[in-house]
Amino acid sequence: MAVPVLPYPRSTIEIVRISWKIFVVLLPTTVVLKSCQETYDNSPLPPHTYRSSSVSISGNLQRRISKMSAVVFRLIAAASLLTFVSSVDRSNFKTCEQSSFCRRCRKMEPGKSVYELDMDSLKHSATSLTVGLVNTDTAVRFVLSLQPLKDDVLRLNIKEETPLRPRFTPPFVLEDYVLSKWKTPSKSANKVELELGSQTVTLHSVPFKLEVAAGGKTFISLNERGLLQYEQTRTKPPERDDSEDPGSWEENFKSHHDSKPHGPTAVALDFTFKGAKFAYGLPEHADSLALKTTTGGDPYRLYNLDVFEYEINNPMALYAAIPLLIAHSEERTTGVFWVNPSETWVDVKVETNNVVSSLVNFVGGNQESAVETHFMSESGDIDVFILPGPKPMDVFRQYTALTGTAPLPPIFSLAFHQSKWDYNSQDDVDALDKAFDEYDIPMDVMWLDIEHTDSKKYFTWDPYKFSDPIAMQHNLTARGRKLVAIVDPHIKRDNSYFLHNDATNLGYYVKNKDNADYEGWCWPGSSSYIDFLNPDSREYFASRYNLKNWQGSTPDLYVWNDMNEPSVFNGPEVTMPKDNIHFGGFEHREVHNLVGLIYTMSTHGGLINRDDSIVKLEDKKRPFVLTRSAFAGSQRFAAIWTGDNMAEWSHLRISYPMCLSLAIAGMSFCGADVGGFFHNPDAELLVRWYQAGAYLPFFRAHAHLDSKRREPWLFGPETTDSIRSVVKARYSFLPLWYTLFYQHNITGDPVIRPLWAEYPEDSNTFNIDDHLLLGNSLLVRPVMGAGETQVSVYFPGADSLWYDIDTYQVYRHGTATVQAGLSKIPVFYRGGSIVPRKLRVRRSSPLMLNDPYTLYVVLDSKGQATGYLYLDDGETFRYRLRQDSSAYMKYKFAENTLSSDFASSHRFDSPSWLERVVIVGLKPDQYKASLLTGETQTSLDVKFDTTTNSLTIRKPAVPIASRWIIKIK
Amino acid sequence: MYIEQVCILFMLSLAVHCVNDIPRGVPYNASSLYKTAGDFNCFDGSSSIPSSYINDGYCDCADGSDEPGTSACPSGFFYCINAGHVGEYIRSSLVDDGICDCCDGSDERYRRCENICGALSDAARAEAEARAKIISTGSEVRQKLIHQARQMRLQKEDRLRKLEEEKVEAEKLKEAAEAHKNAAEEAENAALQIYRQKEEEIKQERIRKEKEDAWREAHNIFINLDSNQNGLLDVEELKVKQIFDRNKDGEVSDEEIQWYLELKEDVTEDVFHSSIWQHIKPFYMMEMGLFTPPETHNENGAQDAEEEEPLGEGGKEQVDEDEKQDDDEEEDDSENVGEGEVIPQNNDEGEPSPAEPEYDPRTLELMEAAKEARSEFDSSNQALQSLEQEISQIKEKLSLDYGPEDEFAPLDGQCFTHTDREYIYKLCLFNQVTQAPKSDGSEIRLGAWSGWVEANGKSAMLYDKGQSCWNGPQRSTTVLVECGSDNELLSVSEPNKCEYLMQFKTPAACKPIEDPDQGLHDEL
Repeated sequence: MAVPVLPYPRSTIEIVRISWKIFVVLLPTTVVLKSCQETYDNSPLPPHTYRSSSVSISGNLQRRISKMSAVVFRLIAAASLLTFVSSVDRSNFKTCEQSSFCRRCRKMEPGKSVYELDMDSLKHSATSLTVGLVNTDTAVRFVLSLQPLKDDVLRLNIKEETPLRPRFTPPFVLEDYVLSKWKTPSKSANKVELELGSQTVTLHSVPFKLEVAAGGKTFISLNERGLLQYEQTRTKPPERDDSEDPGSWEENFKSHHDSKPHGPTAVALDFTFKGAKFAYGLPEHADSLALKTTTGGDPYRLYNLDVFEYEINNPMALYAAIPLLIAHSEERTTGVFWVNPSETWVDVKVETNNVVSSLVNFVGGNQESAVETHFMSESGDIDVFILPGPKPMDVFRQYTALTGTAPLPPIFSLAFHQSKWDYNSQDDVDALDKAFDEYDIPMDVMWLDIEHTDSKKYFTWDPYKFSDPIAMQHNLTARGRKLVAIVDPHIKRDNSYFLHNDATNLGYYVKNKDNADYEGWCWPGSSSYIDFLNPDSREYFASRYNLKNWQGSTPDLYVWNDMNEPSVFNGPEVTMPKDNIHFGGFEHREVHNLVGLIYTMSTHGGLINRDDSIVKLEDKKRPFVLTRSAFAGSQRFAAIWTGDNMAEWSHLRISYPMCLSLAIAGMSFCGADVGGFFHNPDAELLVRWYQAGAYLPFFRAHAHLDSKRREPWLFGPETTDSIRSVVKARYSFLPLWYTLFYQHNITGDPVIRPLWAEYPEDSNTFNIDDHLLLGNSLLVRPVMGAGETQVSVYFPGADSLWYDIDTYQVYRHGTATVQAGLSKIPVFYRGGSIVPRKLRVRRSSPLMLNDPYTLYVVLDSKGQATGYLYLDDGETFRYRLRQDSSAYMKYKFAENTLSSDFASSHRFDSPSWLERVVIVGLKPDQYKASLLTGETQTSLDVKFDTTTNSLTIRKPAVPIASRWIIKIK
Repeated sequence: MYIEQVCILFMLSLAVHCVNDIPRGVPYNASSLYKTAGDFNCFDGSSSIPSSYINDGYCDCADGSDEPGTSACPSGFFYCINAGHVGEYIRSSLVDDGICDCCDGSDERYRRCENICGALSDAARAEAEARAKIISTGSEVRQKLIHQARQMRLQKEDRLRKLEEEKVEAEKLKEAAEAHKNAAEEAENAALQIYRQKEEEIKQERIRKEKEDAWREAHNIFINLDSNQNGLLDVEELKVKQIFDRNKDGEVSDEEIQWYLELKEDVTEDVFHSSIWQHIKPFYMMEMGLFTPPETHNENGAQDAEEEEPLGEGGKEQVDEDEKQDDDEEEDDSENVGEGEVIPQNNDEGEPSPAEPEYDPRTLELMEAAKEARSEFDSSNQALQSLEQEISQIKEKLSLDYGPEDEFAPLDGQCFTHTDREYIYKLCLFNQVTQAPKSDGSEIRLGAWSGWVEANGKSAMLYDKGQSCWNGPQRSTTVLVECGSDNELLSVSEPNKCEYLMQFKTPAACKPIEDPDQGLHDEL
């Protein structure tokens, strides 16, 4: 949910009815008109009014009558308007041209860098190097420092030597990272060379340039184009300087004024990725996974915003911002992580070396492709990590080593979630709970949007519609289910609201530029915003989640943090003014993109510690938090969804690149509202959306208040059947999902991956973003077009085999057309993988905890396969803090022998057992199987299916968390 | 429902035997199928397995028949014996999942489930008895309603017949009156012809005089404006006249003058008369206080007042009123256009209206006779129309679907209310549904009678084409009609925006059960 139905205070939807009044007065030739317009719109009311109870809203036809009545001497033809605005109102959001610092940075001319290194000031140690950097125009000095990190990552930091005011360094983004060492650098008059692993880092002094090379080839160069810009802090000149950009010292956008008391403080730097052919990253944008050249249009914008009815295929800012860019070619993958939470724009130019340009380049003596990028931020330091790869999975590991990985989620959060803005009463929740059972559709989590609160005061319940929230939660938990309730960061300014009173009295609110509590409009009407930069505010807010503090909460209640960009309906670009003041005296402009992250961090911590009756940390339940806004590092605290999308095929299609882009930037736990948030999907779109959504990590159906109900059984039995089978398939794959999340937690490997992540040398994959890989074992290419009953699937990997998961039909490298009627999802096992599943799908995932497993052993061309299974209690921290509460199993099949062994030192006495083994890709034969556990050998029944060439081994019945061997003959 | 279908298939394929030693999850009457000395044949014939594989926790049969007592088969079913209550099949996925689904708890081996079959059975029996009682009292009332409906229908049909007869008479009367009227009017017209000619002559003379006066007035103004006496008016001559300051900025601009002169440099007196004077005249009249701009209508005043009201729940009803007002206004408009012809030249105000000519006695007599004939015709015509109206109303009611036995007919027009926390809902059967906030009485229409529909396999009433929602559809209401001992509007909800759902209980829906004990029989 979220986003104003209509952005305050403008109206986007107007129905103007006109009735004519014609008076003929006095003059035979003159017609005097009275035009009476009735305008039905929202203008007289703040938008939250539209979110009061659905009955009253829907019953309420808002109306405004405006009239014109005057003697006029011309016929006024007032046109009758009937306008439904169904996409973003772009004028609410800035273009680069409307942003002073973007204008200033973007107009820099290449090749004229004024920055030089002061080589005399060079200092170095085994773990660092510092050198002075001078702007030769202004003689202002900066300190450039380099640090070698583990995995050959290089950190570059540039600070002002004597800033008038400290610049903001974002906390909570970086984890403790490990430093590495380099040998004594070799220094000459105009350059310094460092050896970092197998790479050579070269610092050129005039003009400043930094290059990193491997194997004699430079793969990344900084300030190559001379776009480095560092606006030093300075005092406001008494006279206005006309040579400065007019927005340097104060700026207006629409009706909003930005006082900019500290003046221009932008930083910018260009990065050239030599030899790279594609660029990815910079989420969140509703755009293709591969970044496009921005020349001639706007740069990609990173500024967390609540964009009402966002448009797809454009670089506009969205709810989340992760300043990680990855450049890629067959040879090499390189990442740049630009640690800056202020507003950031990134220009990208992808120069692919095709035949025509190679001729041109040949003449120019440059035959290489390249990706040129230009990062521009409004404030902060230059702080950059160069992630050298060389392969995509290396870059992902290097990035998550810095920003952390997602913690292992409770298993229920990987199951199916059911939500709608207007699930309006506990009776409603009970009825839905029962209906899912009646229609035999598994469901783990019911969601409540803002309607559950008492007048949009979070941590309260509507006393009528949710009079007994604990009983409601118990009804759900009696079926193994959970509840999620929304907690937004805007606090209703209501003197009877404890949270408002506490925050006011304790000074926990964000301040406006005049240092008074900032007030904005959001769902509750007049609201203020907790300043999460303040550690006391954070702790206070976190403790609101304590079961004692949150009346009506139980340990099975989890949390949805929405609107945390933060969304302010009447603020500039629907967020906070940049000259608001946070803890420490920092301006909102300096911290903006970090706000959502710190908010979810507070929630995450609050949930861990909410139950005082649980003393030992190991026994506490793992939190689940969903966020809309995110920054680098948010994966440590929350899952994310792609916000308020629409029930349109194009939005279904864009959900894959959006989540893939987030996943390669650390945030694997991503999904899109199944069915689309705004408007109404037809049965076909709904089924296809369930199918695609079932193979994204976060799987939730959600819809707007104004959308019709769309529970799976409301579209006829055929649709219900299709959706049931999709949801059941998702549940059967939960062991795989859970294992992948465990692996992500350990390694940082994305749970979902673009094809090029696993097949980086296959250039056919570079532009594909409607396929995804689940780990490295499943390839998914859902149908995402209206009326389509077949899809073209690209099967990567030169000697790979891919098996349809339903029919075991085999596909080899290349493109194939796959039939996909309405109930078919094209999903394929990679030959060579072993996939654990649970085929006994129950009402909810906790009820499946002790159920037996089936292993799918899918052979590669050499007749081999490997795979993993992770299991634990699915909900506590015991897995991490004890040796006896989890198991990580490795399976290997080679030479007709399948073996199970522990892949970690942990052991787990799980009641689950091995129900069956299905070996796919065998030649027809008379097979026999025997099981070896310790000294015992038992023969097992087998069945060979000649139509699918698969062998099913019946009931080995060994404990799943144990060592064993099965041999087939 | 989908369980039931499968279960029925199961039942049909099973012979009925009673055996004590039965596998878990199998009803008594199917246990013999599992008592095989040798191999077990899957019910669907797909394969044959050793009988030791029955309920061994591994699914061997595609139809799930080998695992009636475990959760091994995704498509299988478990039979809860539920001794003391009603036996039932549940999905295999509910077996041993830690939740007690059978009332005898037989689906859970690994946790203790209380046997609640006795209590459930008692409750079910009590409910069935209560239900049977409601149906029996309800169906008695229903019989009365059917009887009443029959009476009503007969009465209506009687009335209709009578009206049809009266209509024939009335038509005859009307025809006679019309003939009489036509004759009287013909005589009257002939007599009046002479007076009409005279009237016309007087009227023409008046118009001529008025034109002349108007021309003279314009001529005088022209002479007055033509300060250089050259027979032409130009911009400079007009500019000195403050009266031409249209925008009241204290200055007469060239643009303003050009507008009066229709962008001409100068104009002759002929042109002045033919068009320019028309532009100038109102300003002279305003100057002389003869003209004021039209006042805003009274109803606009009313709208202003409404606009100032807080836009709360009360806003809804007003919208409808406004729409109505709109229509009224439009009607007014057409009248106003007519009034508009009363341009100043023709404004008779202040002048005495021309006196009625003096008619001779015979003419007066003829006029009186014609007047009487007209009035007689009007009343006979009205009588016919009111008959026709009543006929059509009765026909409409007679053709309305009041249920298979007309049992809802006596409820036509009756209203029932339901009050929740915020609103009072009113269902007026076969008419409309409304909603009014408790705080004030202004109603909003949730739909008008449309017809019978099917909802959830039951018959329901649809009231649609209610007031439109903001950014949404027209409101509509589906009324689920169920048997109850009294008429009662039980609940109201809004499952989709602007789509309301009501539950209405009425004896009219209580069809008698053939066997009143049905429902208590399928227990063991």
